[in-house]
This record gives sequence, C-alpha cells and structure tokens, in this order.
Amino acid sequence: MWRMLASILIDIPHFLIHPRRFRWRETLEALSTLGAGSFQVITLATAFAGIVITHEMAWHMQKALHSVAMVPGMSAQFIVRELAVAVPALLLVSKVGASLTAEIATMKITDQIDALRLLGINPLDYLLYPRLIACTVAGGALTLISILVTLLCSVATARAYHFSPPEYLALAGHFMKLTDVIQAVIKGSTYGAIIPIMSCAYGFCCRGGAEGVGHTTTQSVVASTLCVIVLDFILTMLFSLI
Amino acid sequence: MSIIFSGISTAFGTKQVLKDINFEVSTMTFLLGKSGAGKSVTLKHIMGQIPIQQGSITLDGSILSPQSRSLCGMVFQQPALFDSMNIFDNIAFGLKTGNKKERVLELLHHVDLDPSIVTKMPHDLSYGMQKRVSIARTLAPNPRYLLFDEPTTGLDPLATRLISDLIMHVANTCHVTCLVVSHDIGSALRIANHILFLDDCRIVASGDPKTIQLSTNPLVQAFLGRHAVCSDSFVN
Ligand SMILES: Nc1ncnc2c1ncn2[C@@H]1O[C@H](COP(=O)(O)OP(=O)(O)OP(=O)(O)O)[C@@H](O)[C@H]1O
Ligand SMILES: [Mg+2]
Repeated sequence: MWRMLASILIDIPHFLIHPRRFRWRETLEALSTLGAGSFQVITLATAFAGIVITHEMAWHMQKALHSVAMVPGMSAQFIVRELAVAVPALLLVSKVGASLTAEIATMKITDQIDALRLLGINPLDYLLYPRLIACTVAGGALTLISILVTLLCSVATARAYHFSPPEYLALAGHFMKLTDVIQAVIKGSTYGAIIPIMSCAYGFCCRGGAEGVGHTTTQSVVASTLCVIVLDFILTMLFSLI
Repeated sequence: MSIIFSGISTAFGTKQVLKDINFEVSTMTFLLGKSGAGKSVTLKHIMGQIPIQQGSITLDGSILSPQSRSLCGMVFQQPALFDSMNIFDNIAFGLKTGNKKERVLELLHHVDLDPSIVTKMPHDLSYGMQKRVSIARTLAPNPRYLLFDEPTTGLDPLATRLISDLIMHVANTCHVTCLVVSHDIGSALRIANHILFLDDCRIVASGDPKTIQLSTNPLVQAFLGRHAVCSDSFVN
C-alpha cells in the first residue's frame, strides 16, 4: 500500500505538467456524482451541528460566566474555524471514500484495472485524477456551503437567547476575518484531495474476493479519517502561525 | 510473425515458477498445465504485468517493448468489463480514432452478438455474452496477437464449445495469432495447431494435437483422460 501511495504522490506533479492527461468528461461526471451527491447529507448534518453547538456554548457560558453575551462570537468562530470544515470532511470520507475504495477495489479484483492498462490507458488518469480534481473542488465548495448553513442555523438558534440576527452578526464580526473563511476553504479542499488518493492507494492493492473489498474499504476509510484529523491539526497549527 | 520465449526463468522469492522456458507461439497455440504451474505468469510476462527476470521474449523478431506490446491484446479469465459503462462504451473504449459506431457493430458481428445489446449494461448480459463482449473489446484496437487466460474455465460444456469455436473464428477472420492458456484439453485438441504442457517449471510436452495424444508423459496422460489414444489404434 505504501509503495502504491508513494507512486501516486510521485505521479501527481507529472500529471500537473501534462495537461493532455486531463480527462474533462470524467472530471465533470465525478464532480456531479461526488460533489453534488454529497450536498444534501452534508447540509443536513452541518445544520444540526450548528444548532447543537450554539445551545452547548450558551449552556456552558451560562454555567461558567453567568452570561451568554459571548455566544455569537464564540460559536461563529468555532463554526468557521473548525466545525463547518471537519464535519463535511469526515462525512465526505465516509460517503465518497467508502464508495470510491469499494469501486476501485472491485475493479482491481475483477481485472478491470489490468484491462484499462492493456487498452493503453493509465488507470490513474482514468480513475484517480478526475476524482482528485472533483473532490478538491467539492471539498472547498462544500466547506463554504457548510459555513453558510451552520452559521444560519446558529443565528436562528441564538434567537432563543435573545440575539437578533443583526446583533448576532455584528458580535460575530468582531471575532472573524475573511482569512478565516479562506483558510477554511483551503482546509476543505485539502481534506477532499486526501479521499481519492487514499481510496486509489488502497483499492489498487486489494486482493481476494468480496471479503477483500470489504476489508480494503474499511482500512481506507479508517486511514483517510486519521489523515484528515492529523492534517487538521497540522494545518491549524500552520495557520495559527500566520 | 510470432512470439518467441528464449530461456525465460522466473522466481518469486525462493519459489521457482518458470525455468529456462523456450517455445514459439504459432497461429493457435494452447498452453496447458496444472493449477499454479505458471501459465498466467507466462502471459503476464508478455503483457508486461510481471517483469522478465531472465531470458528474453521477442515479438516479430525484436525484443518486447511497450510499443510492440500494443500489438497484443489479452482476454482475461473473467470478462473484466467496465461495469459503469454500457456495452458500446466498453467496446469503443480502446478505440482512439475512426468511426467508432461502425467498428463496434463490426466487432459485435465478429463475436456473434446482436447489435441491439449496445445500450445494455454488462450486468444485464449472461456470463457467456459478457465473455464475447470482452473478446470484442480486446479486438477493438486491432491486435495482431490475442492472449487468452483460461477462456472456458467455469463454463458449461456447451458454452465451452461456443467460446472455443469463437476463438477459432476470430483467429481466422481477424487474422490474429492466439496463445490460449487453459485446462481444457478437449478444446485444445479440437482447435489448436500447437499444444504445450507446462509442469514443474518446464515445458514437458509440446507438439501438434496428434503428437500430444501419443505422449507418454504422465501429466499429459492424466490430462488426456478419455481423449487419450492408444498408440496402436492411432497408428492403425
Ligand atoms: N505477482 C506474483 N507474486 C508472487 N507470486 C506469484 C505472482 N504471480 C504468480 N505467483 C505464483 O506463481 C505461481 C504460478 O502462478 P500462475 O498464476 O501463473 O498459475 P497458473 O498456472 O495460471 O494457475 P491457474 O491454472 O490456477 O490459474 C503460483 O504459485 C503463484 O502463487
Ligand atoms: Mg492462471
């Protein structure tokens, strides 16, 4: 697996400087199935996360500080910097990562990948890069959408604590900058890019039958999740230095 | 026009799989042997999926290269159709230029399939039909050599006969040289003009079907079973 992962990572710069390897039809297809296909579930999950986090913040602040004045600022900051980035990334891993790995692993054990190669097509060009581009774009876009949805839900929830929407936004504005949103989108795109890379690295190494596919899919999802969490730590540290 | 193996030896770790293999692929060559004898490894050497460790393989007189490999097509044991594409896209996938529609219909005709199936998905077809589509897909880029890895394993006797007839038909009409890896001695005796037996890392018997039927090698005898011909009766 590690050798496969290394060869993929080495091949990416080659792909970037050889635009002829780009397959736009497959990329658009991947964008619509992977990106648009994940929109609903991510919107729903982040909406609830927004509601929960606002209530939680209010409850804790009431307990500790006997005041809810900081709720808009704290929840908005937490949403933009972490919640609306991590939740869609982890959902993408479980939804897109699992389906991609299972698909590629099945192609591997049924000789479809060898068939591609023998027809003169680089399997990475056909299977990885369209999805890599799609997931990178979708990761960023879905993060942006998640931020909007989660903030909206947080604004709505904050009304229960007597913050009107303009009040909420004004208070939140003190704690947030445009760079927070830009950094969130960069994080989202990075986590999106991890998913197809890990799926291909695991899928291409799949052996055995249905059991092998199941095992590979689990391994890939676990590894991608860990990667997202570790990278989240690294990127957060890096951005905090800026 | 042939593929020649000269002194090919292959080992995986300490396990020797092929040892000093020499043979030439003629129009319709069958390679038979027990499971695990190294038949698929032989094909994978030609297709470059397993690197050659010792010896050489020449194709039309020159050492195998990525360019010359494009003259070869391989039909896998499983149909290996791309299951996200319909039959048309599967067959047309390897076509780079030209009138794709015309070529796909021509190929379907070669493998004796109805043109109406082009819009179907692979899972809508029977196993035998998928196998035919996979042969059509391999024929699409006009290979000069066709390699088959166990084309009839797992098929009933009727389907086995249909597929082996199809291989013969394709070899004749498309003028391709075929190397068929198989366990199926019946098909080999019926359509091959050269049969090789691989056992214990070596070629233990080789010749036309009649010579093979007379072989005294125990493995060949075991394979022949009911196809065995007593040498006296054969001479008579
Ligand atoms: N890539 C590989 N790495 C390590 N060992 C391998 C590899 N490919 C094949 N082998 C080993 O080489 C031996 C021959 O394998 P091969 O697949 O050629 O057998 P075969 O004659 O095609 O058998 P079957 O009729 O069952 O398909 C087996 O013992 C197999 O385990
Ligand atoms: Mg085999």
